[in-house]
Amino acid sequence: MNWLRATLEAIADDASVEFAVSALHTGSGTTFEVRADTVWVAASTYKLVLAAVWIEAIARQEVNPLRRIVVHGPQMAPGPTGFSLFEDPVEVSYRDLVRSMLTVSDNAAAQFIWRDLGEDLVGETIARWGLRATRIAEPQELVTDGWPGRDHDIWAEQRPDMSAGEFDVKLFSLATAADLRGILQRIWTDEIANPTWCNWLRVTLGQQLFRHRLASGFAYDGVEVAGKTGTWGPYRHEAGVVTHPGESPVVISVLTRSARAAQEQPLAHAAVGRIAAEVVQALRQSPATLNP
Amino acid sequence: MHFGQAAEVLGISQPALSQAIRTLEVEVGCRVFNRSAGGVSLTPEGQAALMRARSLLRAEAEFIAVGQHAVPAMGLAHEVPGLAASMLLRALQPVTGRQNSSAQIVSDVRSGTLAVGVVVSPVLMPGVKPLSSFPATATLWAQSGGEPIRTAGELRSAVVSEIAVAPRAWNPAQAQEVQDRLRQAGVIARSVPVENAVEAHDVVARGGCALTLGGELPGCEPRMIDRSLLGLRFQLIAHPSIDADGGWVQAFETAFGGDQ
Repeated sequence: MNWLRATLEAIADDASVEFAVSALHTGSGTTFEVRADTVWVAASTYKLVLAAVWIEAIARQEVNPLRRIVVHGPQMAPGPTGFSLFEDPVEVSYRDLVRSMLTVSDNAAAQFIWRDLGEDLVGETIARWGLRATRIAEPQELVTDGWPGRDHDIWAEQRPDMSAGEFDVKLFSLATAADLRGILQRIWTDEIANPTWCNWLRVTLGQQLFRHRLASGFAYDGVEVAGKTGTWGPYRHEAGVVTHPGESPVVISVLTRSARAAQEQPLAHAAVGRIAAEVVQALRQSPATLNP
Repeated sequence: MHFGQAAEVLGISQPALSQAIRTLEVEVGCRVFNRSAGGVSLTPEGQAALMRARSLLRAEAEFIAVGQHAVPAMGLAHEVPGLAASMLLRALQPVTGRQNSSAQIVSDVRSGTLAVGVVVSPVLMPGVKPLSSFPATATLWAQSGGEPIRTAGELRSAVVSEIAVAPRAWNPAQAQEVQDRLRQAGVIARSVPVENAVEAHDVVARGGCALTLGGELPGCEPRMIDRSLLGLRFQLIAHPSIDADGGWVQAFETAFGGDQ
């Protein structure tokens, strides 16, 4: 365990969270990871994966981003933000629906996109990218298979109550810190879809409303933080990209799980930001010191 | 000091001993002995090395002794009531009980230093196996007692100036939970971390109160707090290799479930 890891463990202990992190400095190619291959409940970070699959589908001309869609949120999926709250049907373009899914973590939008793309297309695309641990799936098949915690150092002592009211893709999707970082890395290096749509996705991820998690570690002028949060039960995640002026972007995913069940967990949010800040500054400063 | 006598004690030849010492000096990168016509003596570096070597030998002896009389050790959080600790230790003989903070017990169970532990949850438990848990009954101790506290309003009026609580370092999650629950109830009293009964008495003597999870505070008057108000539990955790059928769960449930 090097000095950086010890610092991160101390931050996590103080906030009472377990964590995993995966980071890459796109300039030097230096990576830093802690428990990056541990499988976690993805929570809403799965929406990042969906968006990546969606731009890939555009590039393959399987999806029209300008298609007009009538959205009736409450009939699609409940949620605290976006079209999920709209009482009346509205018409939007497909790309603005994706924007709502990413900027305010809109469940209704995500549910539409997930159903429209289809489980097969999503699964095939994820497999083609080599993201072995990531799964976006309906609940039934996960009950007996691969629940996070099995064979990992994070124990799932409290399985979520799988009642009908909690039937939601985000509860049952799985991800690892390494896989989420890998997706962002592809988006930031134009490796998927085409450069036009990678750029669109980069801009849209930068429009995310939530600044209390990853971005809280970079609360000063001149830095850009794009990302996608994931929140459910004890989980507080964010996968994002931190760019300082004139420097190569740093791609980082931080997943956390709190010891507590409380909904309001400002210390856990702050821990995501503090962990990201330590890792990003270390990668910017002196990559060699990370691997003594 | 004489190499010849040392070699005799060790049962090896003097050249072999001299060779071993030269090898050691090359390995550690300094001279361990001053050699002169009058005999040999330790250099300052040699004296330092001797002290370290003796403590290493002692540690080895202890390590072997523990192995020979392997007795599973059980960690008990500071908050565990004396009666429950007594019941557990008697039921699980020849287990050895060790008192510590919840955070340290989790760490020791993970590393295998402890076989099992009873901690206060919520607690971060990576790498350990949760076996069983029971709600913890919190008691508020002050100069004067009263009726059990059942509502947030009663808690708010019972805790006015200061409240003695467990130190944050014992279990940051527990500390956060207690703080949040007190704020939720509208308690504005200052929380004072205390590590022992004397420090708790200090707070009570100033007109404050002290929170325990079943521990007694002699000389003070108790008021029971309804379990739903603080949401703390006693949690039995084990090293992942420990079999839950080893009697641990039954003993835990007898000790902690008895007062349900």
